[in-house]
Amino acid sequence: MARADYQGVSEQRKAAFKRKRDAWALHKQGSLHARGAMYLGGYAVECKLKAIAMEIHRCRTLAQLARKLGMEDSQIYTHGLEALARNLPLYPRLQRSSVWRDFSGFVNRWRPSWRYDPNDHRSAESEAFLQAVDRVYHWLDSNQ
Amino acid sequence: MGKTLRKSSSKGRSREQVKRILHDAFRHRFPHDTVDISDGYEDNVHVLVVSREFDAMSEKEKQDVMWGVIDSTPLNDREKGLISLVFPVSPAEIK
Repeated sequence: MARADYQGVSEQRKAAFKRKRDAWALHKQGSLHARGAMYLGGYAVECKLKAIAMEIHRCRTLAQLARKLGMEDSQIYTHGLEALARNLPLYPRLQRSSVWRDFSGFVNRWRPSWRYDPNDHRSAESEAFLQAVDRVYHWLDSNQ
Repeated sequence: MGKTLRKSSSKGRSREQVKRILHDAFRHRFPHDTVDISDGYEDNVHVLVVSREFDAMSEKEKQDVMWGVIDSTPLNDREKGLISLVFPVSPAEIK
């Protein structure tokens, strides 16, 4: 299916929820799947931030959102979650929140390129990452 | 927008002063390791340290060490909020 099929607010919201659940399911399979689990966990936050951004900026699609924020693809893919979060009105509260260290210490290390990473990672690493994802995700849910 | 924000981080210290304080604190704590304080998105700051000290540490322990250094500086909460990436790396993770 085309990427454009999933550009709407509800699609991004659903994807966020599902990918986070997938991430934990993969994590529970053991260290062979640690990086995959981390990739999906970070991706869940990306979808969550995009859904919130579309709602706040009253955009129906990601294409509209990108135009409204004046963001280019290179910005999104270089700084990903940081750029998305930074453009939300809730960002100053996030900076002062109890989950800021989860964001800066774990979640913001996420890169889309992790999906290409062939190396094995420790389960403890994915556990710590996904716990941070959970805390940031729930904070976003409660503070959007 | 980014250029304007880069001038200062708060009413107190400039962003460059914040980066200098971070650099000095991490260099003091890790005198022989790679310490990189760089620009993040807009006025954010990224902190990266590559050290063998992290080899046997859990991810939480690494973060505790990094934030311990940050908390030992005179930076206030607003200035700490500029630090959007805290990245401790063990060489073993790279090899």
